[in-house]
Amino acid sequence: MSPKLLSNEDRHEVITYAETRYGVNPSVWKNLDLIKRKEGVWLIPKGVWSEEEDHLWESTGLRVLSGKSFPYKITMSFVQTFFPEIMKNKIEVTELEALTFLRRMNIDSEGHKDFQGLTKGYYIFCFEGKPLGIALKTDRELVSQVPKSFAAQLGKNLKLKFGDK
Amino acid sequence: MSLDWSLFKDRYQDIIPEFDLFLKKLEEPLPIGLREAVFHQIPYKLEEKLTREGEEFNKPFDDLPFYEVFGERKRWGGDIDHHLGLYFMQALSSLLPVIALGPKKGEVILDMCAAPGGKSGFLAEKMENSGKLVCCEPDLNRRRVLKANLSRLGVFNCLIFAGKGQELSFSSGSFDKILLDGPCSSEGTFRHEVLKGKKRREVNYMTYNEAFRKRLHIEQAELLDKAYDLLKPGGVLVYSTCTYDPDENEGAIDSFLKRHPDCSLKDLEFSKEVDEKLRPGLTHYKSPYDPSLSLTRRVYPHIFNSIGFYVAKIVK
Repeated sequence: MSPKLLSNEDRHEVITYAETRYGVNPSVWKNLDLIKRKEGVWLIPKGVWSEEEDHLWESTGLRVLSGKSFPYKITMSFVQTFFPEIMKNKIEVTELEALTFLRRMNIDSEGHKDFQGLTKGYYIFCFEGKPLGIALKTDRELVSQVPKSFAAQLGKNLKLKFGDK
Repeated sequence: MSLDWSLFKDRYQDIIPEFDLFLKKLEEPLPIGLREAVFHQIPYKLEEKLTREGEEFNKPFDDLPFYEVFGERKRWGGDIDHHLGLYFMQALSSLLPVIALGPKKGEVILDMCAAPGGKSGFLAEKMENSGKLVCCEPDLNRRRVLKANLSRLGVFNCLIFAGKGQELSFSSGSFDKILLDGPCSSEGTFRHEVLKGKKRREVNYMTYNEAFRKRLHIEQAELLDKAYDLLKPGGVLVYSTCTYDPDENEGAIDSFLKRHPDCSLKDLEFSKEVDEKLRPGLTHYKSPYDPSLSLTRRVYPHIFNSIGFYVAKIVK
């Protein structure tokens, strides 16, 4: 599928989703275009790309949502770009929980008082206020969405807290 | 194990100042360079992290968001903050072409040989993620790395072109500024190679193979001519390489200026602190070059503790 600017209707749907699910103020999208490609929705400054472009573009801006259609999954690029604007569905986790997610393991949310009552959907897990990745809440679990390659590169001895040497 | 530098000596001992110190420096470990990525939206200070974690570090220049650290590269490549795009590992020398280009908010800029993306990311940062940054890379694997790096850094003003810079079909004068960090014999990186050891065969190939160098000269000239066409009148082109070879550096620019007499070299405008650690471009090698080549700059590792580089700034 060749890239296309999102229709007004689809753009509105994305902006509404970002607002209702993550509390992102719609005004942040004002100077940004959204492009639909087969693997998701891409963000680019307004007017930078047009459908008449005849170059073979490998990428157009930054992929902020992945998936073919709703329900999209937010990417870490979305989190990086809009982090100060994200007001909802950030969960603060302990170091052990963060390491569990970063190693692509899941957490039983039903047995965890802090995670009971979370609705289904994607959450941003943070450690000491810093977003580290995305987890999907299913019926009973918080499922790590950390990419395999990312987890592999982090190494076995990953630490998040450091004492003074 | 030391490499055989005999051809290096034959080629360069008359043009590289303090040649013995230069050779000695090539055998020393290269500091690991970390550039703080400033435009992501996650509150972060690299210097605070280095201090908190008790790391030995050095900030070579006050005006550059760049730190030298020591130890193993994989410690820094495997750090969570690296994966979150909060800092980027790159050589200090590789910041110079971007600083020389002087990218500004809202400009239309071309990075003709963009992978692995360290310079592109720094360009985007200077452009404040606005305007339009076109990055070219013909090789699929290198393009994957470029794409991953720019994504990690949160760059969204960039279009990545799957092809060579010469293949772009933009109309003439489409770009305000162009960075051409061209393909080269990479001699300036041989400090890395000494460290790695295993790439000795590649080092020897790049150092000794004249046919390889000739192909590079042709490609460098093609890229420069394409850049000339794509640059708007009054626009800025920065040409850089990571080699010491005058034929790929001053020689390539001297020929370019002869082919395009409406272009001229300009002062690179580095800070005094940086510029005093660089050396002027050659005005003679085998035959005389245009005297203005002295406005270009050579980077030698024993004077500027990084990899070898060459930078020229041209205005159309």
